[in-house]
Amino acid sequence: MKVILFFKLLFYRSALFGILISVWWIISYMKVFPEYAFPSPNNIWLSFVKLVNSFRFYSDIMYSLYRILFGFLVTIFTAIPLGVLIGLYLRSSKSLITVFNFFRFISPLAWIPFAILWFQIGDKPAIFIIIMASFFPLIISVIAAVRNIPESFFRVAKEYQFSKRDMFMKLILPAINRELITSLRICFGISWVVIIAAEMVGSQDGLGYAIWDARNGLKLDVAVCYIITIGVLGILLDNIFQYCLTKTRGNVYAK
Amino acid sequence: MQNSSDISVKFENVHLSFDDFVLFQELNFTIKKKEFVSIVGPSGCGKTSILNLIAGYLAPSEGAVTVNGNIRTVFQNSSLFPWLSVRENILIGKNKTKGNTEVYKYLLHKLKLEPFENFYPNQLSGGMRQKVELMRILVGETDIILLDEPFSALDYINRITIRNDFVNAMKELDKTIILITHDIDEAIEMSQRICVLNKKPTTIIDDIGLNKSYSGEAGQQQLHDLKYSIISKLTT
Amino acid sequence: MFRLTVILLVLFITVVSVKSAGILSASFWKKEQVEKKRVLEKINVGHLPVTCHLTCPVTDYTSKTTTTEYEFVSKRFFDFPTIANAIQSKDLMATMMVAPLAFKLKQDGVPIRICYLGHRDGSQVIVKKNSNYKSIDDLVGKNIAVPSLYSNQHFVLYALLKEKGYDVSDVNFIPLPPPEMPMALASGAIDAFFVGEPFPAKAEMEDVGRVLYLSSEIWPDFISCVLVVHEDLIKNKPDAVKELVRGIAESGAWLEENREQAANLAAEYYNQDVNLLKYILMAKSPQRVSYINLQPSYAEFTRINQIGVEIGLLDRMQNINELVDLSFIPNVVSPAKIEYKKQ
Repeated sequence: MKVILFFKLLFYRSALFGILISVWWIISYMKVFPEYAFPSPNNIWLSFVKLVNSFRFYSDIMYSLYRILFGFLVTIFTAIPLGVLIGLYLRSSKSLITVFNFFRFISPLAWIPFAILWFQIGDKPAIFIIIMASFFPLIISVIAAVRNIPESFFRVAKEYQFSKRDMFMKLILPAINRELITSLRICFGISWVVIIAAEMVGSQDGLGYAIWDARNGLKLDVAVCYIITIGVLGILLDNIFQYCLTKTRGNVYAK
Repeated sequence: MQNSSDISVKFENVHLSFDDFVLFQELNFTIKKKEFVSIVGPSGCGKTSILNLIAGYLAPSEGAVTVNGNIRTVFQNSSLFPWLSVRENILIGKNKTKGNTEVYKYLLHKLKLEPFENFYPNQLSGGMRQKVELMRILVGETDIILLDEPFSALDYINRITIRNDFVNAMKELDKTIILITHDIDEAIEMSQRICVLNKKPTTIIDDIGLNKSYSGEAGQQQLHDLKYSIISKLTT
Repeated sequence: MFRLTVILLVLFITVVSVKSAGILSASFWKKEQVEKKRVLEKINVGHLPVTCHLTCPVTDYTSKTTTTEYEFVSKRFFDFPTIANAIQSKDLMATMMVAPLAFKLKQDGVPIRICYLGHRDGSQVIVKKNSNYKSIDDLVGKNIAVPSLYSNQHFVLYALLKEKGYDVSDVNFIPLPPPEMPMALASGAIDAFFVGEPFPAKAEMEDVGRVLYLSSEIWPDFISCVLVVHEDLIKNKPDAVKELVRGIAESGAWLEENREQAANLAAEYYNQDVNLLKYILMAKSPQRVSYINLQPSYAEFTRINQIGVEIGLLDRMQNINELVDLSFIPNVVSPAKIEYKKQ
């Protein structure tokens, strides 16, 4: 039964994919747009094959992954503890939240000039941009999630004499777990989008830089290959979050 | 000081007021150890405030509230941790070996929770969750158990079944139990003593001792009369 | 949540180890010349992947096999503002840059000096293939794209139109990123563009545009980009600057004589189409870009300054002596000894 389902899904997805490629092929065949502005699937495939056989491709992926993971991990280890503290203890944290919100609405890309001035060129500006992109939405989400924990849970914790450490590890983290992972998933999406742009200006390698380089070298077919890679990688990474979400226990709030 | 070794809860001349509004004046009553008392009255008469005073969440404006022993409460809304199984919730804050004791197994059986030991709260009905909460309390070393309208959220049939399960479980365990409810049937069925409260101002208008150790032992007619007498007192 | 953190940490550690093990660089696998390489001091030189800046990667190439103690590493950028930031923060100590921007930075207080030129000519005015524009006068009232308002392309056109008596508000100068100019021309968003190679050639090869003017026809020995050096480098390592300028001069001489090899080298360094580069570099009459005679004159710079002030983009007339340092230019320039082998 499950096998049939699997193949069914596979069929539908391939069919959809096939339709997209066919439409693309038709458009480029009919030369609706000039070749250099709208590369044909054929050219893309050739470029892709060449790319996959180059070291540069993999090293670009590694660089981008390195930066986004570094920045993301920094954000996780700072925003979550800080957010929990603020959510629990600061009654008048509204003004703090406003400050965070203010920064959240500044496009991370607007920080690029500063990132380059302060951190020069390389890994650091990209990591900085990632942190700016993911820290603020995350901390706001953590604060809200902590505030949403029902009072009764805290009462139970007090009754059973939970230590501070227990409060954090056994009450708060499990209680906000689902919201946290969902929020992280969103922040990751933002970071992934942002790093491509950040690398275009601030780095000398990485996926974003490679796209920009290809575009400046007037090789849009290479650029498209990288774009496809970015999309695929994004999905694969997103699946990590989805997987972790399925592994959460119980529904957060029983009705 | 009186010898208070056999008294669980004592209210002496307790006044409670919020700003201008005076809730009780000179409230006096005593609850002995291992008694099962119901506090009955219309909503708004301060039943929850009494609970808060007993549990220590509120302090009286005047007078003294004395409590001997640990208190745990079962509220109307479940406070089970949704990410823990039934078993884990019950054993919260306790040594994990308690899960192997006779008491645990006994209660699990009496409350008919055996098949659900590894379920999660969101898979259980409201009544079962209340049972799990009760069991969480009973497995520990609590002296006084407060039940704050625990069955109000349940439908009629459930209320009756679960009421029976509760009573069966608590029968052997010798704890002081204070039940707050607006359901008179429930009070009569479950408890040994009923305090009837009225509001404006909140006073104890009746304190009825039922001559039984637990429910079901009184004759049907007696219960019927008792119930209507309480109702008539509340509605005058 | 723990599971997630653990997964991310594991991923991170994997990436870090792969990166540091250097598995992903060609040199790791080729187990290259483990000949005792002298440790050379690296100096970063910035540039854009445009034909005008070709002397930069060529210098990089030569310095890899040099006998001096410096290795000039060419760092590729994509826009001038980032280069400006990089030289301000001393991430770069030397770079190719459009001339007017160098003036602007100096006036903003960045301690730089112009030491040499990058090239001469090398820009063209392109119009749509099937348009019937014949001369500059036809461009009045139209949209002309330039790489930046601080580019010499902008300045020169402005001056030319003014000389001819037109009111300069009659022409619409639009700063556009050069890679987008051919498409913008094809779609009609602009009527012409004036930019350095390889973008004009690209438009020609794609059958989208044709040359209206070569820069050499508008302003003989047209200057576009200059070599800018941070004053600290001049002060602390003047011999490095001397090496750099000499390297550029000799690279230029080599480029001039070995156009085909140059196209191959540029294609590799810039990741661009080799045929396009051959088309540009091997054009004979008229020549499209020149890499010799790179010594600037005070008169040329003064003129640029004047135009800048007229347009309002520069604040004042600069004392050229403070901006320029021509002491590093070698007296005799011979072509670099390069044997370029296609990788």
